[in-house]
Amino acid sequence: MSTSSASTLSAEPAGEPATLPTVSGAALARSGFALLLAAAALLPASYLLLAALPILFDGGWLAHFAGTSLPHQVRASVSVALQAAAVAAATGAIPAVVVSRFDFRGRHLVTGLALLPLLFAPHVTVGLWTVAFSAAFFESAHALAIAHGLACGPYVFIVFRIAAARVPNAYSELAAALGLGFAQRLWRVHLPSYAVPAAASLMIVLAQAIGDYAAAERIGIDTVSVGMHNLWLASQSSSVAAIVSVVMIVPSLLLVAVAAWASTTIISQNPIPPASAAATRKPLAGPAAGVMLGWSLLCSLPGFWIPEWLTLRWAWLKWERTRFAAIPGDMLNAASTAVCTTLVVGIVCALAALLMRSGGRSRLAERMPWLFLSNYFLPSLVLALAFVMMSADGSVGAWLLGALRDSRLLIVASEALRFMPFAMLPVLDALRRTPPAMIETARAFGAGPLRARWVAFAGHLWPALWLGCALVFMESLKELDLSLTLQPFGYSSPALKIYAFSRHQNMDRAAIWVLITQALMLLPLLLLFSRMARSPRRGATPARA
Amino acid sequence: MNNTVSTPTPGRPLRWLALACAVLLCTGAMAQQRVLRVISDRTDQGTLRPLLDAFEAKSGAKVSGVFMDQGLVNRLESRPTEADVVITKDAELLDIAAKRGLLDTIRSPKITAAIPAEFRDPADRFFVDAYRARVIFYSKARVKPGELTSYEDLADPKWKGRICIRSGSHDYNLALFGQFLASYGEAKARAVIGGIANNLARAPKGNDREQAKGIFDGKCDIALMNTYYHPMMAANPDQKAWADAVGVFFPSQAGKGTFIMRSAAALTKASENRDLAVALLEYLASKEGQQLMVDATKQYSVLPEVPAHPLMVKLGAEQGLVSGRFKMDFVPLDRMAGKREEVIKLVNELRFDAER
Repeated sequence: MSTSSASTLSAEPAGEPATLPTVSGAALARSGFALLLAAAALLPASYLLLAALPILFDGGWLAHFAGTSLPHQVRASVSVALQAAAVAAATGAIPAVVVSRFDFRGRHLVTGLALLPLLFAPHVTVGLWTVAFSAAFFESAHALAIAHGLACGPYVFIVFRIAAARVPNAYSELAAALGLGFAQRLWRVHLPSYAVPAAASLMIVLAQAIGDYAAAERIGIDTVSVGMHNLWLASQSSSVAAIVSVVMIVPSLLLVAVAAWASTTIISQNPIPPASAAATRKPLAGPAAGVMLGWSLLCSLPGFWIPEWLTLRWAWLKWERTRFAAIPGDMLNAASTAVCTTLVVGIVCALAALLMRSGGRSRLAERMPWLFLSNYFLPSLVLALAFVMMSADGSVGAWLLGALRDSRLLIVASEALRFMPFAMLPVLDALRRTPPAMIETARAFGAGPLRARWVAFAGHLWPALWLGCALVFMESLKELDLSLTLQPFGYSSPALKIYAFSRHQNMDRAAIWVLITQALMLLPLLLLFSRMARSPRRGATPARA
Repeated sequence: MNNTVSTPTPGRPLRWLALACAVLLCTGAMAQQRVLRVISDRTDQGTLRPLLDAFEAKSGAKVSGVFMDQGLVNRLESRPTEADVVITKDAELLDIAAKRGLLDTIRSPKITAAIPAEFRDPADRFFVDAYRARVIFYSKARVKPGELTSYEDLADPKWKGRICIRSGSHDYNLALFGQFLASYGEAKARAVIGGIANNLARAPKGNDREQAKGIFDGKCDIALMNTYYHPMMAANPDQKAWADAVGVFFPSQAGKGTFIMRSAAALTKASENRDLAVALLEYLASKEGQQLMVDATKQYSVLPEVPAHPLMVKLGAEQGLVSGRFKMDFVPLDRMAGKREEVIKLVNELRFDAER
């Protein structure tokens, strides 16, 4: 398999002895790159594990954690995550499937409403809620779950929007022809079709809800992440932190291993392009379309419109107390950090596209990049701690980085590792869906190896990369824990300002910084919207949805 | 028109040259300015800035900072010489840092002369630059000051469902509970902390001001908070109502006294800017620096000659306190050794932070 796939990179016809050195070179490059990615992805978790294992039972911290608060915190975390998953499914999956499968007036509005909560980080949303409303509900685990569900809604929307566009109507029509009723078709055709996006969405929500610290701490819910951070911060000991991190690292790695295996083994390799599904999109009756619009509006109220109204109002009221002089510098800091993070992610993904095999010929190399997910499952403070430890004075990291260690490089590197899956997984998915025959055909027409890949991937891969990079840019702008812990001297950003004001119970003074962050996110949000709202022309190929 | 614009004029290169010289001169001037690096666990530089600005004006140096309220000692441990000075809102952290060998000895006769011995590390590795009391804020509408007596009393079932507090794992409560252990002994301290946990109105959450808001909203009747939050809330138009709704009670004035929280400053192992670093610490210890500290942070000065802030003077007046001075149950930091770890485990065992 590897020989035949690698031959696509060879300039010589397959099977001739002269091609062997080139084939080996391509395979070697691919393996080397895959190993490099795996090493980078696993570096923080491995470092913490290696630091923790020799002292795992010192001080009795692990036994203490496991024997006291951990079981309760696990229950709280799982409960919040499952509730959040239900909310995310309701706010993201349902609109996505309807938008993908039906034509109706207001489809674009539903798409826009589903994406808007991306403009708020969950800790900002709960901060706004708790300051504006004093009802006990806003300090409950349910409120936390809703905040996470709303924040994950756009991701679930994107996952389902792309997946639903690929599910052909033929199966459902076949089932109907065989006499299966609506309920049976739903149970036996539609639900299995959405199993993979559902699993992917569940993983995103689990990672977000279980790994979160800022929102849970703000609202006072004792989750695993909060418990772990409290132990670290209270003990002020990186050893204790490394020990208790094991509680999160081991399940994260196991979950990611399962996800990587499942993704490359089970995921449908259905080559039907989205255009085909779009061409068969059914019209939605007016009342049903009205219900869909109403539902989308309702869902966007707590996730966007109410927080946005509060933010705008407070920014207006506090206009005179705003230190405008600090704004340009902070905007530049945040934007440049986010651009650097996005560039790193984009370059790594582009390299993966060039070096990895296309089609369903995944072996070990193509599964390696999935390991980046482990950093998304880890709470960001754990990731920050790993970077603090790895770049300590006298360490190899400090020696390698030199003066760069004291720059924002560590923030960029840690953010790139954490947010890599947002771009890498769509790229890998697009790569799998690109038939190798397209590359081989392009080669046969005289294109060089790179040109052939460029042309063959144009339809599938670049839209996925753009979409992923837009998400990385937005997440990087909102990111707090990594920049809080790894900030170099003199560093400041809107996220840090929001955090500082919210710690002093001054969410109203944080409002202007929330708006600044949103202004920076506007362009990628529009890019996302245009990708998600795009209706491929009938019969047009390749589709770019 | 185009010709006119594109025609080179003799003045233009000169202007560019002048601009380049100006940039070079400015760069040179900036390069000559020394930079003192401060690391702090304060959430931002807001309250420290007036002090740092004053020091910059006096010294001509620029103070650049990292303000991170999480993981200060870890960062210091990882990069012991990246900062020259470390300033913390919790002296216990500097005690931990000192025990891990991360701090250098402060050799300054000025500081030794100015700061009372009880506020200096016995080995002169750090000193307390100000302090505040961790007291009881109570609802003026629902609690009479006569109902309040001591910290121990907060464990009484009469307060069931009436107490608000921030996370038991936060530095402030770790320091308070650690002092309970040191002052009351283990058995009594465990009973008091457990009693408080049983009497909480809601899961511990948010910062100290959020507890006052809880009282204002009617979610609880009393809260454990630091003294300076009262004047800070009173000065904020949006939070004034919270301040107006609460009274401040200094516990245990008839007994051993009220516990304090200490902020502190120290030198790191970095030696490049040692003279500047010592100068900043001396400034913090000076009467002028202390006055600025009192004005900016509303804490109590460690210098007896610097009076409490006017807004702090009236706190505790109902209890007969004058000049803002109160009886304190002073627990030296060296008596706190090992207590922090004990408290962390106790807080977890009690599930102090669990949802209620």
